[in-house]
Amino acid sequence: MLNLIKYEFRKSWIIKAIILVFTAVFELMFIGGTIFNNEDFLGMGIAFLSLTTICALFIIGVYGIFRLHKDLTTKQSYMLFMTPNSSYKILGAKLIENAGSILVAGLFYVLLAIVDFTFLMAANGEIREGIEFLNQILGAHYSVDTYGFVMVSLNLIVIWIFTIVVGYLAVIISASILSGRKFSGVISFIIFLIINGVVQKIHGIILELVGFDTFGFSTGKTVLGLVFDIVFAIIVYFAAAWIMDNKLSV
Amino acid sequence: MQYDSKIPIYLQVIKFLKTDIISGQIKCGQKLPSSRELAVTYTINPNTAARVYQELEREGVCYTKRGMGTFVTEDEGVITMLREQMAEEALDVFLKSMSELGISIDEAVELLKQREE
Amino acid sequence: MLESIDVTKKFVGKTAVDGITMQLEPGHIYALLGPNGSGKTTWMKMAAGLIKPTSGQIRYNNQPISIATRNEIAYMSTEPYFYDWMTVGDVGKYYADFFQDFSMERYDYMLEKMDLDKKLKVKSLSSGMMAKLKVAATMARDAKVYMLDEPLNGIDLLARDSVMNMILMAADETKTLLVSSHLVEELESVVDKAIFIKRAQFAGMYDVEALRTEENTSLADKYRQVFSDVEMGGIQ
Repeated sequence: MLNLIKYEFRKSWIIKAIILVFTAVFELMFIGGTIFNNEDFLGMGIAFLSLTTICALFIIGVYGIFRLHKDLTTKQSYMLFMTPNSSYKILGAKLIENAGSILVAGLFYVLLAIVDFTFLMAANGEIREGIEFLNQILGAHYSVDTYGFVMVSLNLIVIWIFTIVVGYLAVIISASILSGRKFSGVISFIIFLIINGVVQKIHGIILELVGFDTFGFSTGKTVLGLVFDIVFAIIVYFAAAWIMDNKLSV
Repeated sequence: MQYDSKIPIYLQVIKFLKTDIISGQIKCGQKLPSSRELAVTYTINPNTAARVYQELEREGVCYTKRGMGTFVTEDEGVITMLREQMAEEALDVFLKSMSELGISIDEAVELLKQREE
Repeated sequence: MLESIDVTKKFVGKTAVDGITMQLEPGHIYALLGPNGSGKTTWMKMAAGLIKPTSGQIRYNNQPISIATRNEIAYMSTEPYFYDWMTVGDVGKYYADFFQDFSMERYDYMLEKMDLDKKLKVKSLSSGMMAKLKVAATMARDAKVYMLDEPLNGIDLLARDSVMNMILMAADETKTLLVSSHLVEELESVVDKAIFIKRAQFAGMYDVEALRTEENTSLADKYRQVFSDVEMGGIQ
C-alpha cells in the first residue's frame, strides 16, 4: 500500500511543485506590499493568493481524477493492475494520496491566510478596527473569527474531497460498465452530477431533521457535515472499488 | 543459429556437436556445457537440449558423471567410428545428388580428381 | 499447471475468446499462434487477471485466477506500458517494489547483456530497446508462469537473439512459458509445444519436434495448414 501511495505521489508532484512556486511568488508580493506599504502590491498579493488557493485545491483534485482516468484507460493501466494489489488497495492509495494532498494543501492555505492576516493586522492597526466593525454589522452568527474560519474551511475541503471521490466513481463507471459504448463520457458525467445532487439533498434533509439552521455557522452543524461527507465518501469509495474489481477490463 | 525447420532440431544440434568433436574443436574427455547452457548457446528449447545429450550418450559419444556434468568420451575408437559414420552420410548425400544429375560413380570420381588439380 | 476451462470472453459486439479449453504444464515453452485478432492477447490477459472471462474459468494449480496468482504468473503486454517519467533504472525499482520474486541482480545482468543504460529515459527508447527492456523486467522475476505477448514485435534481428536468450535463461522444468508471436519461424527452435487459436477458438496443440519427426513438417508449415482457410483481413 505504501508503495502504491509513493508512486501516486510521484505521478503528481510536479504539479504540486508548480503550485508551490506560484504561492511563494504571490506571498512575497504580499509581504513586500505590506512592509513597503505599497497598496498595489498588497492588493495583488491578496487577490492572487486567494485565487491560487482556489486553483490549487481545484487542480489537485481534478488532476487526481484525470490521473485515474489515464490509469484505467491507457496502456499504463498494466503498471497498476499487473501488480498483486486489489482494486480496493489501488483506489485506496489514490484516494489517500489525493485526499491527503487536498487536505494538507487546504490546511496549509488556511494557516497561511491566518498568518498573513495576523501579519497584516500587526503592520496596520486600521484593519483590526475594520474587522471589529464588520463583526458588529454581521452579528453573532457570521462573526469573522479564526475558529469559525478554520471549521468552515475544513468543511469546504471535505466537501471537495467528497466531490472528487464521486468523480472517481464516474470515471470508473465510464471505463468499466460503459466501456466501448457510445456517449460513455457524457453519461458518466451525468451520473456524477446526479450523485452529487442526491447526496446534497440528503444532507439538507438530515440537517432539517436534526433541526439546524440552514444558514450561519455552528460547531454542531459543521461536525455533522464533516461526518456526513466522510461517511458518504467512504461508501462511494467502496462502490467504486467493487466495480473496478468486478467489471473493469484493462 | 540457422536450422532446417523441417528436420528435428535435436538431430541438427547433434550433428554440429559431432562435427566439433571430430574436428577437435571439442577435445576427448572435455566437459560439455550443461543442457541449459547448450539451450542458450544454440537457441533451442531446453528439452531439445536434454534430448541431444540423451542421444549422444546412447551412442556412446559422451557420458554423464553424476553431479559433475556431461563429458565427451575418452575412447578415441568411438570418435574414429563417428568420423567414418559422418563421412558415409556426407557421401550418401553427395552420391544421391550425383545420381539425380545422371552422373555415375566413375564419372563423379573423375570430376573429383579434376577438382583436385 | 495452468488450465483453461471452456473460457469465453465477449466484448460489446464481439466474441474475442470462444470456449477455449486447454492445459499448460510446467517444463515447456509454448507458442501461442494465430493471426492478429484471433484472441491470443485476450486469453493471456484473462490468465493475468486483467480481464474477467464472460464464462468459464482459468485456474492455476487448481486456484481460480485472482490478485494472488499475479505473484506467480508474470505477464508482459505487447505495447509499452511504463510511466513517461521513468528511466530504465526506475522500471527495475518499480518491479522490485511490487514483486517479491524480482531480482535486481538478474535485471542488472540482463541490462548489461543487452546494452541498456539504467539512466536512459523510457520515453527516448527505440522500439527495439523498449522490447528488450520489457522482456528484461519481466524475466528478472522468478515467476512460475511467464506469458509474453509478441515479445519479438518490431525489433531487429540482433535484439531478437538477445530476447530469445533471456527467455531461454529463465526456462527450466518447474516453469511454464507462453510466447505469442506472428513470426512463427522465429519460434521454431525455441518452443516445444504450439497452441493454435483460430477465430477465437482452440485449434489444436502440437509437439513441435514430433511434427518434424513424425510428419516431416515444420511449425510454419503446420501454421499455414491450420490457417489456410482463414482470410487475412487488413494489412498483415
